[in-house]
Amino acid sequence: MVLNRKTAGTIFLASAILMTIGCSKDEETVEPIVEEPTSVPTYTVPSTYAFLDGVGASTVSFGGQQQRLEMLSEMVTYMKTANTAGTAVVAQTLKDMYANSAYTWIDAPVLGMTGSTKQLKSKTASADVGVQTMFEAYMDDIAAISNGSVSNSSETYGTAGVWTNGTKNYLMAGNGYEYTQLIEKGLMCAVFMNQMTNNYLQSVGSDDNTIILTGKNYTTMQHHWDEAYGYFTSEFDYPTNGTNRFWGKYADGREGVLGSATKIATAFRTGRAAINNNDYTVRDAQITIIVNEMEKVCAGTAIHYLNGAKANIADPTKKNHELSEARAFVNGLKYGQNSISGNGMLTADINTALAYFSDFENVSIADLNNAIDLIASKTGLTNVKSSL
Amino acid sequence: MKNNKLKYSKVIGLTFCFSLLVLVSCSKKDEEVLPEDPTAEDYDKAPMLTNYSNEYIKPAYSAYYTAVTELKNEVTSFNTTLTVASLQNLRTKWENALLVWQDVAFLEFGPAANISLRAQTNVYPVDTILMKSNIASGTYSLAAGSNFDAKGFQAIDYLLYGLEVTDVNLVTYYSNTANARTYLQDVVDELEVNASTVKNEWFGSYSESFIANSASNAQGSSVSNVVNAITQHYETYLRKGKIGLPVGAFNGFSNQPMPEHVEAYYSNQSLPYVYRSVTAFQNFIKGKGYVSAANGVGLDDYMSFVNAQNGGQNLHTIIDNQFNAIRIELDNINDPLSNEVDVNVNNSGVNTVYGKMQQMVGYIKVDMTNALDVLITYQDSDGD
Repeated sequence: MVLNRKTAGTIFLASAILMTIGCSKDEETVEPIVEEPTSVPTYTVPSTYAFLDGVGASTVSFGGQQQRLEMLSEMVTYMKTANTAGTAVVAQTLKDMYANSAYTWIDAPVLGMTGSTKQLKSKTASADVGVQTMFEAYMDDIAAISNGSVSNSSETYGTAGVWTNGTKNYLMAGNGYEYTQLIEKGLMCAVFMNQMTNNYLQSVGSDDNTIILTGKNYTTMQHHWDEAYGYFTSEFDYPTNGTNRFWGKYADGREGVLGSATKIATAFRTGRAAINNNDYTVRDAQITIIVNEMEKVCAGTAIHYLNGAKANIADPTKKNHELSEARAFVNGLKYGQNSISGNGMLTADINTALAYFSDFENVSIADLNNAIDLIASKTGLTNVKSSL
Repeated sequence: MKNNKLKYSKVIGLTFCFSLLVLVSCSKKDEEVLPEDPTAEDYDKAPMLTNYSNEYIKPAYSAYYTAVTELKNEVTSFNTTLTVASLQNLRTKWENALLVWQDVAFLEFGPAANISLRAQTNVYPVDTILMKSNIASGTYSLAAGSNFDAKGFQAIDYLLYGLEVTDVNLVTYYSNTANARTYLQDVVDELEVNASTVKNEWFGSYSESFIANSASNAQGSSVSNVVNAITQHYETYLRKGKIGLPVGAFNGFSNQPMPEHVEAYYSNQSLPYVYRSVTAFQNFIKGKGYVSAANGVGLDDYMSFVNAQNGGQNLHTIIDNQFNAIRIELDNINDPLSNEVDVNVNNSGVNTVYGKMQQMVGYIKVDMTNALDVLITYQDSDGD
């Protein structure tokens, strides 16, 4: 094929146009509702959480959240060393990690965690001392049962140790409770979800959005929105990255049924774009979406594990693990905005649901179904509960 | 070729590549215009689901419920007439009910999944120490999760074959042990309640919603539920549970056999249940009626519709042939399977069966699910 310069140029131009047309749908255009519309502002929502200022510098900052996610990751890694019989974890070490007190972190992403002012403890359940004490008691418990632990290969209740079914090994108490899950998933809810849905998203409405903070290139409102986002995922390009841990992982895990990962990530990007354009109606709509979807992810994940425990009811090690996960997520619903504001599953119902499966050894299918039915009915998941 | 032409060609080539890239990444909506095989989405799933519901699932659950009821009645008559003859009658009813169970065991979705029917019904190996302790104390809740390996068909296997060496001694044992008679009765009563619950839901509203839930193959759809349920049951409970664990295939280094892991260990008859399960799977995929055995619309027709292939052959034919191959190998091994898996007896023969079963996993779990656009959702993706 012989083509002259002109033809080549035409093809190039056509390709360029094609590209522009073909890809423009990736960005959602929001038509905001404005009270006195002389000219309706339209703005695009980027496909990643990338927001730049006039000179192309990122205006997004959530370093504190990245640090706290990484702190919990390191705590989990440390606690899981105790899933090997005979490997002890030290309560004081866990508490030092929790409060970031004189603890030297591995800090693989080089976030400056060691000696930083960021910590998980002070952000736990809006600094509720009772809840902080509960988590520290779990740390005492895991340390106690890890000390001199032996394998519980007969999966006998009443015997703390490393329960094993031959393929899975978890350090669990004699009643089957796995403290690693109670701590990890508990803090996901009491710190990350609580900070996101209750602290930042509820207060962002009264934040200033006109003054660029000294030495920064963002407003207080922009920054607080970003910090809420950072508790959902520490990655800008979620779900390309960030599906490996915490809410990014569990939202993605239920995505096929709930679609919440997409809804939450989209709402965060849309809300940030709205804030950049002073469009508070759209921003507030996104807050509602995020708060509701976070409750669905939390409740849906709990139901997912309860369904798993039903299927594995004759496999004590897996059953205990799944019920431990479920307990942490169900209890964790308390720290979400819907429960706090009285619009979602309330504490009394949460406690009722937890009581159905407090006895891991003797729990029945009917007990688990009662818990599932109650959680589903209070969080709008009745139609999908068996698919979770 | 002259230099300037090369240059143009490069430019054109690059721009074409770019255009293609853009087309590939941005034009998913346009795929339907291409002359390709029909997609899984194009298939009208309602007739298939109707056939499954009305011709297989409902009649099969009816038959299962009937078999369990007959078993229950036989327990009642054994408990009142404690003779070796009535023990034999009871064993026959137990064997029959366990055979029919194989026909419905893989339908663990919807009503069955809701009450975890499989775990309530057929967990093995059973915990004989726990059973003895339950009988001795007379205080137990079979509904408690801790008792799932002390109830169901395999508990009855132990109660009818494992407690005493001779039949006469066993009858004497039951004559002298009221708690054992009660325990036997409680176990079959629970089996019947569970069978009844699931059957009634299918004959109630579930069947209709099952057929109606055919808009897509997404997670939670009926096609997804069926495919996930049968694939999981095949992989975990037939291949692994009935053959793989006993033969030692899951002891990855030593391959040490685990004879006590066979189904119906105490009766010394395991293979009839393996055989029945294989046949039930094969018939189900073909869409055969449970009573009429008429070849209705099944997953095989669905695979055919999307022209599912493996190595140039029709996938549904490969699957059907593979079931036949498994059956042929099953004919080469003997009960008691717990003895057969011994390396000094015929471990290699059982391993050959396992090999044929293992081959099938790829056909149904990978090829079939890909062809039908069904996502495997039962997999334990929880890395922790």
